[in-house]
Amino acid sequence: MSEKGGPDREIGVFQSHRHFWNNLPGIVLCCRLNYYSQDPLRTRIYDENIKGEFTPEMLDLEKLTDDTIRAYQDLPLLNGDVFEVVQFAFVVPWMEAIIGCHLYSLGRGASMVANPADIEPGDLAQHLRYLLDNLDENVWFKKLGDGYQALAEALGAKFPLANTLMRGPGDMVGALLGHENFIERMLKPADNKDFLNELLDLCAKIYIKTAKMQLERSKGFKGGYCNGWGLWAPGLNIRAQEDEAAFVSPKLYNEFLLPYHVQEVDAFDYSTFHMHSGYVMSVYNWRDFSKKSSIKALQVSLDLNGPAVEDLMGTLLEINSEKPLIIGSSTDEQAKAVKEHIPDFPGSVLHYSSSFLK
Amino acid sequence: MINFDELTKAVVEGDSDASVELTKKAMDAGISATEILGRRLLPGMEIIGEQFETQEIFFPELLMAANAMKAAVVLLRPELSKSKTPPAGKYVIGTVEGDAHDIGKNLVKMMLEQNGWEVTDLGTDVPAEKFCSVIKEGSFDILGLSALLTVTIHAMDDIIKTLKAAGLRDKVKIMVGGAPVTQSFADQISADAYAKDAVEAARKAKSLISR
Repeated sequence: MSEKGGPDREIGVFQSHRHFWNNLPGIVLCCRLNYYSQDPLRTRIYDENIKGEFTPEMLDLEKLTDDTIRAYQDLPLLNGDVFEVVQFAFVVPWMEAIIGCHLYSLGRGASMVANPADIEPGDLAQHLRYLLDNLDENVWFKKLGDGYQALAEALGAKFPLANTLMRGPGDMVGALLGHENFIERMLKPADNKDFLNELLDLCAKIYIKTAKMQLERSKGFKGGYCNGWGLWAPGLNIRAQEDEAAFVSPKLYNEFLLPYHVQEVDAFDYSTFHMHSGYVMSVYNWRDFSKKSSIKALQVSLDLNGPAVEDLMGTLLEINSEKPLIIGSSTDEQAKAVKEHIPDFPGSVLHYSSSFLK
Repeated sequence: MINFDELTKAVVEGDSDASVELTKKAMDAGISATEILGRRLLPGMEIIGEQFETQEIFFPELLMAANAMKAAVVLLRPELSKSKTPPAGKYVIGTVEGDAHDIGKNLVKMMLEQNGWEVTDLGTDVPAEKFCSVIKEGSFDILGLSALLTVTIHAMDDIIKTLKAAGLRDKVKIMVGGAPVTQSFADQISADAYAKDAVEAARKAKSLISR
């Protein structure tokens, strides 16, 4: 089946992924980071310098599907020890768009940002409740579903599809209210706690429905699903994240964000949570998160300005003694430092970097 | 009798109501704006800066402290402008073209203003030509460039090259910062300074112009 390695190699990969989820010692998987190059919409935004408000009509499904097929046509099924996965237009901040934020395309920035919705804060809960009950009518939700449907038909026989990049409930509420407004409200819980909790709860539920819809449309792969890092699992398998953690304190993270991360990951059989190295030792309460939820694996992206690998190792080893760990290196130096420590890890590890360092 | 420690504490705790009330009381008691600013408000921000750098506090507390300071400074501004105390320096700041992230930039601006800088904010997604024309027409000590996206930090290099080509590079010191920016990148593009966060930005700005 695979152009690289053959069926025996694939059987071995499925087996190693099963071992990974069980955090068996000695399971070391490696792959290249290449997903940035495989989103044709991102490439188009850069090449054509598409700048300004980005509306659903600008997302040409047919063209995007064709471009995605072209981007994958020469790729082998395996990227190192993981599967090459197809994700639909992950440059789009889908969750923020679905809940009503305005998208702004950044041209040469090859990215998009979400600006607050034109909805009064007092009306937001009602807006989100209606949306949750009527998600199928939402134009962005429909685009996302149609995109997965089209890609599943075009590429699903060859490649697994993974859920697109979806930011978490805190990111969604931060985008709705404006991030500084969100922070200021969290710091005044007497006036805002119930208000924020209701918004976070509704956003978590919208997140779960949206992720499940994508997995349903993708139709799965070999009796299971792959996540965005190409790891296959015999059940619903997603990548979750919360960039808002960069803006909060450990106290606010525990009070406001953690309960909804638990809710989010518990809705799936295999959830992996993405974190940044700059905050993994301070803000993200991964210990409580691991205890209170059914989270299966944790992922740490090594930030350019984050702590050195040597300083992080204690935390990474501790995480790995509890959960399988995915480490993403941003530079060759980081990748080399991680590689040197691979024998020290007590459980299973997937290490990806821009250069392949098996 | 005004308890000055309470005013410093109000800033440290990010309590804008208290910082405003205590500043008003101090002014009513005839204490000069310069003294209130220099002896109680700024020391509060120094404490906050140290706590932020050692991760005793995080972004929200820094933001609230800066807001508490800002609210108090609004009351002092009329008197401060009468005293004709020159600003610590003139700073122009913006997020580079292709990038619309502004939380970091806004915080740097706040920290600079609280430290006596006159700051001109060009906003986000600012093209190199705009930076160039502002530097040409204005009189600034430092140009601050911010970026969050890996792909946009190269715009910093373009801006510096554009300034060089226009013969304006030596007219201004250049500071760079943002999540994907490192000291080695700053060196590579010949920026004058790199700051890893808003607190360091205020400190490095001061040292840049005192060289």
